[in-house]
Amino acid sequence: MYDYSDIVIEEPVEPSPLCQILYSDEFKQLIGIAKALMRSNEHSERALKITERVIEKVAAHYTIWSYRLSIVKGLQNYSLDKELDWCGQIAVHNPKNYQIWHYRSLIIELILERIGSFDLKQEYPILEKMLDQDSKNYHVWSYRRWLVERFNLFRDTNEFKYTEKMLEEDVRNNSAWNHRFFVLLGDKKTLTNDQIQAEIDYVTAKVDIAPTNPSSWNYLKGIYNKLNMDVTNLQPLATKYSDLNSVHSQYAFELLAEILEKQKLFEQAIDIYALLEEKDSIRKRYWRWRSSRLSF
Amino acid sequence: MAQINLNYDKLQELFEASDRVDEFRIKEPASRTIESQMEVEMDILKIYEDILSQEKSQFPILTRKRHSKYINTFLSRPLPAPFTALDASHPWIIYWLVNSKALLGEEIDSELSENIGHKVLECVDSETGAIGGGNGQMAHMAATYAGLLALTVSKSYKAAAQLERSKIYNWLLEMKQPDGSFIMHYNGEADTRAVYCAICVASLLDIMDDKLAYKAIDWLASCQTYEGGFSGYPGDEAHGGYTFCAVAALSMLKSPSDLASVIDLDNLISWTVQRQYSLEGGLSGRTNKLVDGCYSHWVGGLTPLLEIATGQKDLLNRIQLQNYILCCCQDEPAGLRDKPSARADFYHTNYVLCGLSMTQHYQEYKDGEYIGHRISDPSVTEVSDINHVRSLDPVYGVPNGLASQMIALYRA
Repeated sequence: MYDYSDIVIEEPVEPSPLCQILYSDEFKQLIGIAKALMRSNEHSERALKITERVIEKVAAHYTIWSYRLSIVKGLQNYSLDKELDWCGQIAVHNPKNYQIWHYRSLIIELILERIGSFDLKQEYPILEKMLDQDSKNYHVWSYRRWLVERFNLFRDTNEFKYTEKMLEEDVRNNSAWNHRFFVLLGDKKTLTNDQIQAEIDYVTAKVDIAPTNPSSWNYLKGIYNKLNMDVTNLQPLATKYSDLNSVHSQYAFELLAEILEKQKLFEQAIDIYALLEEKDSIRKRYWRWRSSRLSF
Repeated sequence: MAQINLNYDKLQELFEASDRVDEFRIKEPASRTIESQMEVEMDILKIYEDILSQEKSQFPILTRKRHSKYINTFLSRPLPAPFTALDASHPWIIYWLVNSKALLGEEIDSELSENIGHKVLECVDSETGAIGGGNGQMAHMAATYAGLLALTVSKSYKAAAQLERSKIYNWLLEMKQPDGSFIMHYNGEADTRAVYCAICVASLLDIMDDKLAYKAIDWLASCQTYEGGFSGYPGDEAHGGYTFCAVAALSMLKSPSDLASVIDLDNLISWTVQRQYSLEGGLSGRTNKLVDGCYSHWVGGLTPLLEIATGQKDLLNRIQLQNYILCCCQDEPAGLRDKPSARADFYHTNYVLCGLSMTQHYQEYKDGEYIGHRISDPSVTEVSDINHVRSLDPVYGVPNGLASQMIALYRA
């Protein structure tokens, strides 16, 4: 326990009555002490403790996070690994928080500054735990993207394997697809033809598993676009899943229409759009517009 | 009752469109995505079935009085202790509530307007002049945006005049990053929200210049993903909230009719229309995620900008979105919500109403300003007085006309 008896808590002179929050006495006390210590810019163990207690109650308190960072920087002997562990605990209880993961990246930068290296292995358990809780957690995937960039993990086997594992579990996990795209192409390096073909084979197999899954179609088209490849090569796949007498998917029809447009087979493209108008009727106006833009 | 008949008939149409292109989804491997999607569909199907089994005259209407009471209750008494979770979001609370009130067509009286002014000024961080999440908190980009919007909607011009614009300008410059983006606060994260909020703040305060705009367009454009939507940061996943921020900011930095010159507009439109789900009628925020009422604004709100960019109206299905809002997003006893299994909150109340407004209006862009027009084309939607809310400025997210009044105040 730390002693805070010397702290003078300031309160706003005439607080606005509008939407005042009826804080518990405990919280009033905590936030009051934290703000007082922050004003005097105290970097101490007791200050660190108080930020911890406020953040445990209100993880969105960005002012307190920022103060905590300055304390951690000020306390030279405080273990930064311990700080990462604590961060992980807060994260598990606050999956939708904006501050935690950015803060974590700042602590890692601090470790790099002080020690010159950082062992990435310690990041994987917490990431796994978080994405196990919510496999599409935006903040966590964004942090993982930061790791890839910061530690140059482009085309890293571990990252690839991880997205494969996630897509194995749920082929509709669009966050995993997006991460894979970044790992593969995010650094703008040229890929070999073998690498490209392997990836296209991978996605095509995923389309075969779930032809109505928009994620894999978007990914496939994304790769073609990014690498300036000829989309008409996808005609066999698009045709395969645009047979009304068999398993079909609106994404295949759409792709087929785009291919036909490219080939200047406008009348056939218009037929496809007409079919989409009818079958995908919520987007009727959109398909009609796509169709109306074709110029003969 | 012509309008109610139309809503009913359109819902029936949607309901009966059973021969969907994606009927084969059921044969694919089960996964978390499919399971949670089916659960939501079951909830909604049941609601739609119930409505269609009743008389047309029983079709849900906007329970305006109840929502109004919900909003006014929270504007007139203290918030219970669990709201401590929002202690870093005071300006947001005010904006969500007062904007909802304004959208419902209610007057903001001078007492409330003054109280809002007082409250927002209380959140000003004296060091930087910008607004924080509450009294004694550090200046924050989103809090500054929300606080300014609260002043704008409530026409709290006396308080607005007390903001120190030159200090805020300097703070904005400090938040500006060499790559063109902005960070949220000292030691804070950079993302498309921060850029959008910064551009809105600078425009409302009439302090926008080349230094603040520097490379912002390039940075925002680099957030467009292979799917067509925008992410919070280059390389992340396309997301409704970030897409709105990026496209609205670009529309302010350029003009909405110029969007195609800086981004892949066709891909953006394709991603946007795919957010609308065939059964629900409502919108999701990402590919393969669930419908959520708040994306009626973040994604639905892109519609007016895309309509101006293309000259093509109704890229999104307005009446089916309106049906989702009226049938699924009104909580009992009051307030608006994400989906039937969720409870109402301030955030959803505001953004669902913003989305409802979009379904009822077209926006015209003229001399740098937006003018809202109530839709009267019965093939699109029919807007009855019972359900009508005020038209919404598509970039600022406040009723049309209010932002330019605020800017005029500073310009004078």
